[in-house]
Amino acid sequence: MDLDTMLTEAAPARHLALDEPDSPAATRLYEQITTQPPAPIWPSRRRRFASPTLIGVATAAVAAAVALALLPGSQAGHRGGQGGVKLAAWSVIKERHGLVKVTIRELRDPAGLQKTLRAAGVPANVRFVHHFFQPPNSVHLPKSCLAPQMSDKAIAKLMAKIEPSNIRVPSADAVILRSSAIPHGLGMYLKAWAPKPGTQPAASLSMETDLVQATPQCTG
Amino acid sequence: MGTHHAAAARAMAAAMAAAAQRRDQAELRFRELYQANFRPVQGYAVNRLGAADDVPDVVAEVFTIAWRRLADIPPPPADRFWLYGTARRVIARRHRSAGRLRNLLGRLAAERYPTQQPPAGAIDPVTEQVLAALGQLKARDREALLLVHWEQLSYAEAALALGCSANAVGIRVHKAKARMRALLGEEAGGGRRVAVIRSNGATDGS
Repeated sequence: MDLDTMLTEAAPARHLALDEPDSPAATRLYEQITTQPPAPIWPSRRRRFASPTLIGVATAAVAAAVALALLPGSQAGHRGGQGGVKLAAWSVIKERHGLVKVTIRELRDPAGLQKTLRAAGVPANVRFVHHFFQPPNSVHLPKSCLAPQMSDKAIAKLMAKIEPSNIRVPSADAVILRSSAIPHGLGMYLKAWAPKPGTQPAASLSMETDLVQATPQCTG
Repeated sequence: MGTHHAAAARAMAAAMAAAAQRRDQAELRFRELYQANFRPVQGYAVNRLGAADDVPDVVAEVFTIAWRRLADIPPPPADRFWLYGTARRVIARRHRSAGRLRNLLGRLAAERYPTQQPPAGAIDPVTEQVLAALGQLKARDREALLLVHWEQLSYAEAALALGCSANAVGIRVHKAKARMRALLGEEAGGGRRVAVIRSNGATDGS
């Protein structure tokens, strides 16, 4: 058997019965999704900030807006040259229950983001890398900044508290952190990468979070 | 005053009608997208996660994102590559949320593929070797290889899903295959030497 055949045969999906789009489960999912308000007709880059989640009614949106505190440096947007709203490269929003939502749209001004995160109670080391794929781990992070020795289990437990899995992240270019869950002396390493400057983040921006030492050298 | 109110009511009715029309258009497009891509997206998730419990969640999240960002999705056939790219990021995010993400696909392949539940009957030894060998590839090479061989994409199509050039896909597939051959032995399974790959990355002959 040649390699191509071996590879093709090894695909797990070849050995599993996949659901059809009109199966009960798929139909139920479709209905759940489409009961939510549809997307606006314009690209999401210009409206994501204004509509971070699928908020159904205007009153709910207003109530949510009141509950949010936009931090300095995370300008929600300004008028673009063609009359549209051009969003900031990134934003940091303090939400209720001690949560901090970080949205990255363009890989610009990592130092500003780092400073704003600190103001939001999240010591952080922020790195933006222009790379097609995930860059080698910690390549931009000095060893002295790596988080202290912890077992994988302990790290996973801690990360689950910092990035609560039960809170839905509104978009692929955002991450929600619980600042109070970050132990004293530790901070977050936030790495984002995309193929090239000015690339459309919706299509290709990726992020990774990790723990770092919260020291002046590591988190500023 | 009455005329003013009537004009406002007409404007509001027109706006509501326009909104309803937009919704109809959005739902029509989404229905077509969903019908055409539900199985492929599910297949992608299964191919990356195995028979894992979170496959339905990944599929649901991918299509929820698609519904929210319908305006960003290119027309067919590129919509499927957009969905694959989204699925890749969704899986990465979920994996990261579950713990510390070091190298998503590498970890998946190294740790999950060999231990995933056999779907119907045991995984044959050759497949097991192939899955283990995939775990030893660089993540970027492996994803290109899998998109081409498992999702049956051309280099140009895989390039759209990965956000790189078709040439880059070709190079990565070539490198991945060369590495696979080194790990498995040329035409492994045909009675020749087959490598035994350990979870720590060590490779022994057998």
